Amino acid sequence: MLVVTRKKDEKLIIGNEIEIQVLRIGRDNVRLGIKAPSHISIYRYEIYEAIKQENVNAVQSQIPDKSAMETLKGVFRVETKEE
Amino acid sequence: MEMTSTESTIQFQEGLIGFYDCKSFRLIARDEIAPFRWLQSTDRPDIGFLVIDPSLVIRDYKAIIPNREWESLGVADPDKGMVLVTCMVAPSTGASTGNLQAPLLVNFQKRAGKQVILTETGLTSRHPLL
Repeated sequence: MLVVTRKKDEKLIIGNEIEIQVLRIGRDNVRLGIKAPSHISIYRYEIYEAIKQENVNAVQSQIPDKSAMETLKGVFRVETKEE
Repeated sequence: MEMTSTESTIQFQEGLIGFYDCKSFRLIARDEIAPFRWLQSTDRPDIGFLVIDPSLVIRDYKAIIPNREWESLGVADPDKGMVLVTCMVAPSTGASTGNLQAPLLVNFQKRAGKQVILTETGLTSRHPLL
């Protein structure tokens, strides 16, 4: 891991397009400003990790069978076609 | 009656969050799972998600998605964008949930999608479907 010391108002640049600026230094937190292209997603790490875990939890390896779907489908009141 | 099934292949350039190796998915609509659809990774046969249009859960869901998220997908008019959320179906129906915090946004014309995380909406990754 690269470790860099910065003072208030100083910046870092990552690649050519991502800038990070130290806006405020508190007693046990820092406030950062981040400038990045819109296609770059920026999230608090713990939120990102939680979503990652939720994606893992949501993985299923096959389409649920018909009987397993029946109850849920009823909830949305969708007419089902029978063969 | 005849069962209908349609499918389209959608590219998620960045993969899904936590699944960066899964960039290409088939979105499969079938009568027998409607209104859910099935999102199947073409890279990994073991990875699939049951997805649903979140507006069936919260009517105005689309309105909470920031425009900049659509812009990054090349969708100029958010009304034309497609939104899906992954679902977890529990044995007890009432416990089934949808991930309304991290929707999949799709530019269907370009067959391109991305998963985003919504913050400060109060919606959670385990929103009851019922």
